[in-house]
Amino acid sequence: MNSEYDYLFKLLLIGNSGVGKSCLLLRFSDDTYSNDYISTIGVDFKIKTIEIDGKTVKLQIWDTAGQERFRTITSSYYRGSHGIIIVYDVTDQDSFNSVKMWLQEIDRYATSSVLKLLVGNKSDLKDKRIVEYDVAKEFAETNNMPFLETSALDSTNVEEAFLTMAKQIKESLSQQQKDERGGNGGNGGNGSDNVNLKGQSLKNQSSGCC
Amino acid sequence: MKLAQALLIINKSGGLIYKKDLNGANNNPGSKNGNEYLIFASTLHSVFAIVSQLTPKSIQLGESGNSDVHGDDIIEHVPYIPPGSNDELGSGNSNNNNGKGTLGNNNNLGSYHGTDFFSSGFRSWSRGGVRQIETDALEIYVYQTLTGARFVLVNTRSPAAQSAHVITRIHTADNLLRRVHCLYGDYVMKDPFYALEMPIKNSLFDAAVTTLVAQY
Repeated sequence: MNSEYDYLFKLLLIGNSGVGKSCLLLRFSDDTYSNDYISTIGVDFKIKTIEIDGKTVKLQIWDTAGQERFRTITSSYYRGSHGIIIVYDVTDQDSFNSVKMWLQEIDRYATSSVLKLLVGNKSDLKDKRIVEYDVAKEFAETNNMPFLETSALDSTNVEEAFLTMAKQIKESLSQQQKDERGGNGGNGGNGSDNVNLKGQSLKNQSSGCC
Repeated sequence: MKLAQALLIINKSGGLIYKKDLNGANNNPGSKNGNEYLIFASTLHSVFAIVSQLTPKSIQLGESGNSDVHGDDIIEHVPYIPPGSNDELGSGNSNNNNGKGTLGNNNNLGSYHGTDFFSSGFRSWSRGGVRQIETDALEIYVYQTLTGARFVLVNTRSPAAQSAHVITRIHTADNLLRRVHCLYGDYVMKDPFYALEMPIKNSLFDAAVTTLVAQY
């Protein structure tokens, strides 16, 4: 029979070239690490099956090339993403400065409801650190996204980064479904753009018209 | 002989939301593992992304004035081919004109249009995408919809099927896949418990697809 999985989530990894997107993904999906730098060509993806609330969820994680010359291709992968992880390198100020640019890319190409996560990679390189945790944390808060520091080398926070994202997506998805089905139940406070069917009587307006 | 191996539906973001093995799992070594199909589907999606970058804009826009470029009308306009007419060419025409009652139950797809979902030719929405891929062992046909979902048919390559012109084969596959799209509209889109872009787990849809494909 079809589909042994209940959900399929599309996650996207973006960030400057060389910040460790592919390593992060390799650590999460295969639990391996390689010190060699191999530039991603275009886009690569890995699939990991996890379980959330008794449902089988397949995470399909698309790992994009950070290099500028692949930008035309990578931008077409934003479409339909459930979650986007922006990665920077804590030892590289430039990569952190570019996060703003990546956020703009998300605004341009992804859906507005997409979940974002900021990740500072290479946290194991303590003596080379340039971007402080507090600075990044503050930046993440002003842009309404969670923040984590990870290390693909010693696998700190790697699982957490992906699993937190997956859980959030699952929650927002079931919330959406509830809103769609729930009629008056979910109406109002949660800021969803439901159509208001209550309206006002048209009788009052009829006097002024020809 | 049944050529169809698998039927896939890929959503607009490159995720595999439906797959069906059509020819039994025994001669299809990759069929056990769902991930392989997922990888196949997403790789195909990546191929589309690259191909659409390579395709000249004039074809993508599909202006009729540019029909002298490769994207000519034969490819764009798909004629109506009734189910099963690739086996016996004569039998298909009679289906076309008959009313609801005359056909067997298994042939009726349950549309308000009658026994079939459509009865005339249509335009392919594929602009700068991939319509067909041929490999040594397989033929892959892709039906592109306006909403971005893609319906993919994987056929075994056979000399008999090869005798038909490639455009005829594309048209036949497009007709089949368009019917699957119609079923998708009827059974999946109207399912109140279906979450958009998520895997399709609808047994009615599954049964309808089985019925449909059996006619080919």
